[in-house]
Amino acid sequence: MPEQALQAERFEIPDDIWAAQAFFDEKGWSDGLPIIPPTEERVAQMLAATKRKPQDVIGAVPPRWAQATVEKIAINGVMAGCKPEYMPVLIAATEALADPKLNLYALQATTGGPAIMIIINGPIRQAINVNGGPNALGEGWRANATIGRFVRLMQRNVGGSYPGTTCKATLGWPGKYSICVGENEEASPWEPLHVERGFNADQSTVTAISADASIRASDLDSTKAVGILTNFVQRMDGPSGPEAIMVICPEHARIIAGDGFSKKDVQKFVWERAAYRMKDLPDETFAQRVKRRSDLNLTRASIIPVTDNPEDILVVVAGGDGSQSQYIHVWGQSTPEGGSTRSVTKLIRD
Amino acid sequence: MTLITHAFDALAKSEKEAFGAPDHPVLVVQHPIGTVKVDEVNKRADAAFAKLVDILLEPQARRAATGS
Repeated sequence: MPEQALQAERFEIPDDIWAAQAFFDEKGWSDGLPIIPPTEERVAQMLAATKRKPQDVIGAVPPRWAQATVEKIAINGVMAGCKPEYMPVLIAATEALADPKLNLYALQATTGGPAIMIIINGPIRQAINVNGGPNALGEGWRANATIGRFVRLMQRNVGGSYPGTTCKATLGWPGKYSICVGENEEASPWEPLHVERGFNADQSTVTAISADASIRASDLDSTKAVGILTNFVQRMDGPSGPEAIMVICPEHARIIAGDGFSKKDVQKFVWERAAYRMKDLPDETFAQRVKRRSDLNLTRASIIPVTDNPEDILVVVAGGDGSQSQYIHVWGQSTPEGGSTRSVTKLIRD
Repeated sequence: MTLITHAFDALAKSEKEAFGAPDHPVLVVQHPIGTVKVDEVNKRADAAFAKLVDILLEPQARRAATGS
């Protein structure tokens, strides 16, 4: 990689790792955790793992709307602790961040404080060891931890998203550090997310979606699909956003599918039951709802489903042994125009 | 022009710079709006209205109101 091809400003950093971290902190480049110094050698290793040129622009990242070049992706990948072989995933994730449908500007500017959840599908999961099994949403896998962290660092270092000023999250949540999961396609009785979205099973994809903190949908008692899904529905009652995420563990998925439920059946069952009942709302809240969704002609008798359409509920299989699924609320407003954010899925290329 | 609450002032400044429009007029009102009573919202709206008219009609008044 010719050095002159790289355009990022160079800095001399102290050899001492703690002094180097202090320098990074002073620059505001970190999410609060120590970062890997993005030396020329490390950045070059990342760039060697893609066919894209360093100055190729993948998209603009808000709120600064700075251009995310492949070089900047490589730099932030190093800082996050990513291995060079993750590079094609990082580029696809950046394409997703820059997609207007995701509406990253709103996601990082809102007081709601959602994370950008990354879901990885396809053979790349095995190639770079993305976890979709035990503790899939937890710690312990470098690919999951650092790819999720990369997304946050891109928002900060390229997008200029800083808590308290340009990131207006009231509280945020720990997923904002990193939330990245592989779908456990091998343990799923259904077609994986990327195939649902029109990709081939042998292709690999990144899906990005607005994500609030999850709610555990534990059910160790039910032996039938209806029981598991009814328990799940009880976790989902209330207003969601334009979409909702069901992360179903393999044990639950096997029971549900064993009773003849397809993914579409799961979505329909849940959508018909997980609801927001206008009769339960305080007067002020009800009045605001009526104003916000004047297209729905809401009355006290109205019942609003968790999402506008059954297919807006993402069904993803992940996790290891156990009967512990999770519901992940999607930040965003459901609107007559289709919602203030939508998940996007991007093909991972070399 | 753009109307915001003061909690989003820094974000608005960042956006103006990002889009190369540092003089874009922004009218800032007190935060929050969502959790205050309607009467108070109306008071703030009344107070902001004169500034709003000034911003729209008078470039000099606009600069004074936004501090830009």
